Amino acid sequence: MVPTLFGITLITFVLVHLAPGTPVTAGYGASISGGNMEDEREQYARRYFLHLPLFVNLDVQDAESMADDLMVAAQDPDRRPFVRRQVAALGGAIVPYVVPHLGDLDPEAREAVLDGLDRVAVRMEITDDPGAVTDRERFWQEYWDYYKMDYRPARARRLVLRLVSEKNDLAGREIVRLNTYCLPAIFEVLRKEGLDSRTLPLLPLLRRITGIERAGGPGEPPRVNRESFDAWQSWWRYQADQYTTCDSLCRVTGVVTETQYARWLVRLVTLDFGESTTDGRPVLDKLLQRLPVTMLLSLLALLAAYVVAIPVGTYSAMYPASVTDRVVTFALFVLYSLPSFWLAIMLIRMLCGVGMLDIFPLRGLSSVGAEGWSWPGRVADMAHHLVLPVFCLSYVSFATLSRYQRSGMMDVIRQDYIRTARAKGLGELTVIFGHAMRNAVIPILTLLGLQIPYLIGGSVIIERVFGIEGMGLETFEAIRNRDYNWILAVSFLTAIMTLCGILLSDVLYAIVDPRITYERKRA
Amino acid sequence: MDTIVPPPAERASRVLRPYGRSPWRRALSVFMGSHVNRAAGVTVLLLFVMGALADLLAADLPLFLRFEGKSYLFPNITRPAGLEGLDNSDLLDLMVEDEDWAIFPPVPYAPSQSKIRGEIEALRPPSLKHVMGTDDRGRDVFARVIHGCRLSLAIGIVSVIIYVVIGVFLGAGAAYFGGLVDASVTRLVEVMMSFPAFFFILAIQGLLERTSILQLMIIIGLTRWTDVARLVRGEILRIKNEAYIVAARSAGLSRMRLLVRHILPNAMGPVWVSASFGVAGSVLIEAALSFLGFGTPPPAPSWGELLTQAYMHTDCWWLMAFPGLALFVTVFSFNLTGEGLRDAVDPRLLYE
Repeated sequence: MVPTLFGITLITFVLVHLAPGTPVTAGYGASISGGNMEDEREQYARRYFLHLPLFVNLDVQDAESMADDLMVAAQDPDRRPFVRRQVAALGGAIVPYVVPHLGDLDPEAREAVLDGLDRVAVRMEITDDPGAVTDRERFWQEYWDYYKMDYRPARARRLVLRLVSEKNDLAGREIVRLNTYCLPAIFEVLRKEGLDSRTLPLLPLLRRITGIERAGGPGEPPRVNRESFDAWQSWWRYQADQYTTCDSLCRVTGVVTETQYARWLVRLVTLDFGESTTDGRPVLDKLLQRLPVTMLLSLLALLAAYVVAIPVGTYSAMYPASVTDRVVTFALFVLYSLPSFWLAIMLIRMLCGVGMLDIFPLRGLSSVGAEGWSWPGRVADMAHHLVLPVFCLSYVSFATLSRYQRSGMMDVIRQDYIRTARAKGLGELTVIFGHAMRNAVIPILTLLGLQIPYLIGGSVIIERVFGIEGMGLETFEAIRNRDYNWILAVSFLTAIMTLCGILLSDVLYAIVDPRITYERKRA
Repeated sequence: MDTIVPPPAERASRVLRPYGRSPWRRALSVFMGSHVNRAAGVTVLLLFVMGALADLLAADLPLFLRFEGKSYLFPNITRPAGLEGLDNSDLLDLMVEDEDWAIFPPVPYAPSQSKIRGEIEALRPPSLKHVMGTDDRGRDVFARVIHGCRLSLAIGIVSVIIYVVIGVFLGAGAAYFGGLVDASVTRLVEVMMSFPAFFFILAIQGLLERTSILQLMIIIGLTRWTDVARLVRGEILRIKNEAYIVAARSAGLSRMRLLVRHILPNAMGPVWVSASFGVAGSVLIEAALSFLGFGTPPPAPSWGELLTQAYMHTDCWWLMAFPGLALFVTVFSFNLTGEGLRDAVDPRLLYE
């Protein structure tokens, strides 16, 4: 089960990376909001971890390597505006890696870095007016000589803990001075303690440190605080590596964990599918809204398939080679070969008021204005809308299942214990339903798991033809718009559902057939 | 699992007879022993003929043309220099009586020809001129159905060849080498089977920027090999320990020769059955993809694309009936063939 799951994630991951273009080029258009192209793209790429290698990371990024990269980039005149912004954005976390090396840079490169540091100085609240400082390099050198002992992770952690437990104002000021260097400590405390009255002052502090405007703090409504808390946490998930300094252990584990695949896997496991690249809504929200419709459709289709298949197959097996049997099996075979979308559009044309008869509604799952009806009315209305889609989705399944039920029942009827039961003088119905049925349904129960991929694949077509706003229709739209996140989430989800279906059929198997136990289970 | 073919008693007498013949001849004689199978086989053959001769059955130029003192043989295929921009109806207007003559194809339109004498006759119902009507771009539906047959069969056959090769390779490898190879192939099959095939193909088609017919064949081939791999693996595991294989091995045959000459041919029976059903499945997948707009790229005459038009124009019954019927007949006859093959190659029936 677990290796299979692992394989599934691997295949979906490879699927996306084989596709030409990246989510950035596909979804980038939606997120342009003026601003600076390079920064925007950088931020967007970061959400998809595109700055990380695919499977193996031999050069783990952290604040130190970011600082080194920026100092290299500062040598290039074209990239200096970018360096200024990046230095300003990264803040205190890179101070210990930039300031001691300021002297090694070319004068112009140094100016660019210092321009960025000016804005950091304001956020650190060590100067009000950076323009007033005459020799900026000396200013930072002196700062570094004086405070370099503070730049230790343990100290940052102690400061945050003191702020939280003692409401120590002095600690607050120290944290602001150390600036983003304290972010790992702050988020560690936030994660451990959650959001309560003690950790609440950390939210405005985060705003002061990073310069990112985001509501939240003591005195604001709880809902705002909660939203802000979530937003900060997800921000941290994408940004953490820029502000953290790696120790040797994390450099070793980072070879595996600091990769696109590992990060992506963590997101899948935490059900964080990202945002839809078409409308920017979280994929999970959309899924939760669309999935029930498809589930309802698929489960009804599955139920219908079994409810039809078992009696039909049984009847055929009871009277093999009779006229009824031949007609039924032939009809089922024809049904099996009918393309479902063709049958669907024919049924729409014949029964939905566009052509001959007007028996069933044309589109959707509910009539216009049905929201105001009482619940029996709504249920009846929905059932009325569901008849054709469920039929079109299930008939291939019931055609297949009937055949398996027929052959399963034939195999059972030939066995000795059935002859014994008949010889005892039991009625035919008792023999079939009391003795034969349980063994005869085993073959079609094992097929239960395999029906689920059929139904989900079919739902794309059926939902499109009948205009039902479920997962399938949304997937159709997503593929049109190349909405990577949605396609990925749905591929992953359907694979998981199939696995669950297979598991379910194993369980049913054990219930129906008491001889099978899973006590000595292999992997 | 036998359904349509006649009941066992009738068949058994026919099956037990042919000793001394090769298993292939025996399977063929069983297959041809049923009316339904014969009908299915003939239909499949006719479909192949229609696909192969599509260019001669429906074309915008004659099969033979005597025009302006020159003779052209199959101008519809050779596309000679003197006839650019002309089609059958233009030629009819230009030809001089008693001097020029031509043999026109049964359907005198090309599948993507939308103008006839400069006019676009869109969505015309069936008439003598257009036996199956025209679609929303004025193209002749009959011509598109004929050429669609070629497209569907090509996709069906090629994708099945691709996946049978992959499946046999992996399945045989897994069963024959066992151990780690077997474990990894089984795991891979399990993973691939967890993805809804149609859905998976749709997602890949959607994510790729450009689509082509070959690409579609490859995608279908790469995603649907799991059944074949499982069948071959199971068959080989069963055959491996049969007496004749033990005998062949004790005769000192090399592993490769044993596998290729003795094991594989006997393991292929269920594969043919699966392949026959598989062609039907691939044809259906192509049609469904084209129906959704993610199949073969636009000018290609796909049945699914015609059915999309039928969905858009619900009052045009001919757009729905003819392509749908063609699709159904193809799928049905391949399924029936598969069904017939299942009985023909079933060893339990042969050695009963």
